[in-house]
Amino acid sequence: MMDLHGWIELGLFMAALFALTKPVGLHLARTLDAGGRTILDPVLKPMERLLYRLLRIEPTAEQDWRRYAYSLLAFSFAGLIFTYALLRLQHLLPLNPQRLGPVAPDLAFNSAASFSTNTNWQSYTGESTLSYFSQMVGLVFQQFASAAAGIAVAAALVRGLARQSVRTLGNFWVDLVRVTLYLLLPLSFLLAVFLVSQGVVQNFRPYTSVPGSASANSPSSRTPEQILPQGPAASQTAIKIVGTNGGGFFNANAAHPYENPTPLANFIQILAIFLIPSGLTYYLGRMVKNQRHGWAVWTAMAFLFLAAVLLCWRAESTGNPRWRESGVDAAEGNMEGKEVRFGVFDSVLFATVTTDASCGAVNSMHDSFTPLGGLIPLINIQLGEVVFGGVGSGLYGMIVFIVLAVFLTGLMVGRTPELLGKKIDAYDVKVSVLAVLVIVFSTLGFSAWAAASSWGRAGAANAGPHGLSEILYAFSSATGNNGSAFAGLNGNTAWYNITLALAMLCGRFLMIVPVLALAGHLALKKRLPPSAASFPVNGPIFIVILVGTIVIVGGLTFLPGLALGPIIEHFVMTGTSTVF
Amino acid sequence: MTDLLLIATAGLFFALSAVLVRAFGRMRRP
Repeated sequence: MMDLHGWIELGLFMAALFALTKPVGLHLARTLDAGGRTILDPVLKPMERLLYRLLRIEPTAEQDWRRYAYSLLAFSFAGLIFTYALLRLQHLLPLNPQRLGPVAPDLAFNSAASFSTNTNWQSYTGESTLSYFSQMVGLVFQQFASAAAGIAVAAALVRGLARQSVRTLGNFWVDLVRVTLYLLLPLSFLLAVFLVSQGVVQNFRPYTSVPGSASANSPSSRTPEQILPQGPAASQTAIKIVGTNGGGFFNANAAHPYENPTPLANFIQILAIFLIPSGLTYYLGRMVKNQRHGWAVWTAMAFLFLAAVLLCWRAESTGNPRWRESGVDAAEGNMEGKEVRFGVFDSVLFATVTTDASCGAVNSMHDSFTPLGGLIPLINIQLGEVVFGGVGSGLYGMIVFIVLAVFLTGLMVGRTPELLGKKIDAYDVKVSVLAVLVIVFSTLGFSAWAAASSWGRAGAANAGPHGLSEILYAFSSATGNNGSAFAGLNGNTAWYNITLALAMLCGRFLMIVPVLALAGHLALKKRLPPSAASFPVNGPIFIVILVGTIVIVGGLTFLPGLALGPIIEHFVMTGTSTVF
Repeated sequence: MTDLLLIATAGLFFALSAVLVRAFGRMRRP
């Protein structure tokens, strides 16, 4: 049932997101300006200067798009190797009270690729595989660094639109340092303190053993001993949310009571996922000196978000008609795989937000959603996670779609396409299309390989369309750098660990390279003043065309795969007696 | 040995990405 509580919460969520967009956007504008002043300067400026001196960065020296890209690639490669080495050597390193052994090579490779690409796909089980040192240094470092790198790329693309007749896009190292210091660290600190206040654990204790006790129902039998995991969970949970990373401290992620203990903690975490991506739309408007354009992009995102929430909510609250035939009380909707303390709406809201963004944290099991309910997270990822999206990656993905929308509009009316006074030429369209095609080839190519090979099929817990959905979700999630899973798939095999790692690397870096090429090419151009021939990119027509471009490109590309997975499964559930 | 192979795979991927940067830089522009 789509109840009143859900409607009120959805209204509060949208109001809070709208209200926070401008302040976050203004802070982003100051942070992403190398000489910008923030209220945190008295505390953080000395640290910023020290970092520049230690890393030998000349903060006033700007880079062209190629140098910017080389810097990002070198930094990400070094980070990947660092995390890989750390996971392989964790048994020799401190903060390992459970004396966990080294992580297996394929799993370490998967995890290192996963966290350096902001994906946070977790083939490992945190509490039984990784030491506190591995989690805090190996993974949390990447959660900050990959989020900052994503925001840096978005800033470079926005500068490409805002500047004219220049070759430079800023300095990657300066953006990386400033975003980490002035944005991610303070927000994560605040969120971590809030989460501790709600009951999220933050300590270095060994796991707690709770002895069994006499069962209330049957005094002669005893409940088994329980092991309660401990650790520095609040600090990791905070950046996992703020940086749209998604990699939880515990295996159950945000469904674990130590990671997401209260309804308020749940609401604030969901809001914090969208915080920076939403603020980035305001930053876009401010930088291109067309605030209405920023709000138009925000509105297109909000429309797609609300449509997805409502569709998923309807599917999950309707539940499975076969339960009624079996005499199961389905008044609450589909509660399979959901926390009772969160219920249907809070699970649906979390699932939609986490897949609109490239977060991937989960408070319910997406594999247990109804076929159409599960289709929503899947298609959110496949549309490119541009509905607010990941930190940075959402905005640069959306700008690629804007370039394509403007190009298609130009074709329809027979005018030279123009975006914010910049003529869109063949080079811009080619690199934008390549950025979209990389995602398609990686997602569908790896999925097809998995579905056709015994290695791939061995991982899926289900046969038939649901098995295909599990495979398709895994490679969509890896390529889209989301990290959530249809958890019926066992991804911890050598084949899956390596192919998923490659999909994550393709989805991240083979998209960033054309995006930066687009930024570099746009920056070279002059911005012409608006004329009667200019296509307005701030009104309702633009919003409709942008939404249409995203849905049609995504729909045409992935509909055949979805038809064979969740859509056919829906018809099996409702229409025939054949169950795969 | 497995470690070296996996590190080499990652290295190869990033080298390919760097080649792509070069290729986009050389692509003919209007």
